Amino acid sequence: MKEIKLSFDKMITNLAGNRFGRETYKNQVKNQVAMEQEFCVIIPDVIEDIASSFIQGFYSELCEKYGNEKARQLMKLTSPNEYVTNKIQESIETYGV
Amino acid sequence: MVFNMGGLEEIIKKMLSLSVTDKIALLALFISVLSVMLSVYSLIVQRKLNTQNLQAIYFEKIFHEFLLEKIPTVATKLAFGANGRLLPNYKDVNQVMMEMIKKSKYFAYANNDFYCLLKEKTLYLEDELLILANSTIKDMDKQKDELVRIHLLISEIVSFVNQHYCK
Repeated sequence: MKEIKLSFDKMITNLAGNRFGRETYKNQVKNQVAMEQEFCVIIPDVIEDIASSFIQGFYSELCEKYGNEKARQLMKLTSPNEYVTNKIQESIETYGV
Repeated sequence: MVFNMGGLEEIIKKMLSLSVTDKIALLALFISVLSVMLSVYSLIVQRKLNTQNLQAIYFEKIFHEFLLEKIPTVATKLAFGANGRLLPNYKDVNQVMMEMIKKSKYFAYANNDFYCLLKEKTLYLEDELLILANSTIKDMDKQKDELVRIHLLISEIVSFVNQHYCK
């Protein structure tokens, strides 16, 4: 499975905001993946927390194109930081994408 | 439009010319009809009350522990450290809110507007906490202002739930 590592300004330790999520996907992920290709996006371990709004924004374009279920199937969001990975999982279960 | 006084006068004259027995029978009929209408109305009111009581039971079951215990416990621990950064226990606030949203999924079906608005408010609080956690604020007064702002957002969520509990 293809892996894409995200990068952020070194001052950023938390990811928040729907719009920021959308922009991050557009700038760092969108052009790197082929249609219907499964891939994994890795959030750097310097990121200590992630907001549900960011996750929703990050998935939004893919959801609009393929629907929520398939979007989650195509793109896995993860992090070496266990707290962040668990938060992503919980957030998707609670708020959806 | 001319109000037909003539017709009404005739009806009143006819009623006054009825015998006492007939008048009593007419009054009894009127009281019976009124009593049926009142019974139907009280059934409707009772049904509405039953629905409200049931909602109140579900509300209490779902929100009781969050409003009385969990939210106040995590909210009171919000603070800035000596380095001007928000202490990491702010994450507990988001954790509790997420838990509350998960537990209140019943309202996604029973009262979707309430559920969606509650989700929106908790998402907004989460954003504000993370943005605040990203920044460094050394000024003590500004720290207090920010904490007050966050506490107001939490109060808004609690008030919102309480308002719907009383409906």
